Amino acid sequence: MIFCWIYKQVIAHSLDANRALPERIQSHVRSCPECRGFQESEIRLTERLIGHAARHSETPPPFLHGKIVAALDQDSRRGEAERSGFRPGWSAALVSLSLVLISALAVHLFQPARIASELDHSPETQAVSTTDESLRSVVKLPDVEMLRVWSQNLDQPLETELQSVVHDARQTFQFFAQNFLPDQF
Amino acid sequence: MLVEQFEKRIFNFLYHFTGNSHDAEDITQETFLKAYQNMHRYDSAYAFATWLFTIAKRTAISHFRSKKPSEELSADTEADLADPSAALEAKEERVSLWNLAKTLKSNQYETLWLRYGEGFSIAEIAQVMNTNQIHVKVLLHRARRHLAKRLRPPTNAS
Ligand SMILES: [Zn+2]
Repeated sequence: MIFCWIYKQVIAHSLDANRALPERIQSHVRSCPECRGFQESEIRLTERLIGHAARHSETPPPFLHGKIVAALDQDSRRGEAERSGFRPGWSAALVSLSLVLISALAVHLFQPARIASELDHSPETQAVSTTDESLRSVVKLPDVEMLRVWSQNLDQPLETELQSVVHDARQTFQFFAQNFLPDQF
Repeated sequence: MLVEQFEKRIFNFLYHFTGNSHDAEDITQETFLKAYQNMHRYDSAYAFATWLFTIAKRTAISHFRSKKPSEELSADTEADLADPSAALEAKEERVSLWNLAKTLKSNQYETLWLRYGEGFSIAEIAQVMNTNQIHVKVLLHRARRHLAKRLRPPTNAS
């Protein structure tokens, strides 16, 4: 029959779209063995396509999930850093600055001690100590109590400076800890 | 979590689309990244899966465009199976129905997979494939016809 070709198209489209066949075509299918055979084979094909789809699935590599999660995590961290106005360049500059400060502090602290120890062993100092008695007779050297007061007065600005440097360094590290260390830390 | 829910489906779709695990893996990762970055653009009037598959498809296209500019993604592979003479039973033993479907034109295969592998509607497939519903219907119809032809047992004349 000439209409069978058209009916077959409708049957196929109805199956693809998951729609019921119009009543007129259903009655034709019931009476036409060719169209009925076509419809049955189409239904079988659809069922097989759906049934075999699970078997056709590829298993993703085992680390795919971890890679996706890590990429998302990294992206969200980058986003947070950008929102807070902080960029890696800034943090590197801050780290360098704090390192310079710490080095300067160390040099400042250890240099007088080194100079003093060098002076203790230098011939000049030894010469001074040998002539200590003769000097005492000419110049009035300060006594122990006076030296202590002098030393205290001299140390005071250094102590204040040290305290402020330590305070600044602590604040810098706290800032880093809050902004750049992972949450579990 | 969204990743857990969709990663296998997206990977699977991309695996068949790209033809290799390495590209599928890269594009799956990129798809989720894009989805999270553009979450504010998602319209909840549509199914989330459709939106995600649309991103996957577009990411795959741009991935191949930047990687292999001369390579045609929708290469016609129909010629690979010029001889549909083997009997249905014998074919089923050797290759699955979907392996046979893979020998169809890639857009026919893709439509078939989205319809019967993923259960998307015609409208959803049209969205993923960035085309209209009529085109999807035509592709589906052709895919089924070609597949049925290849599954048909040989006639004595051939
Ligand atoms: Zn008929």
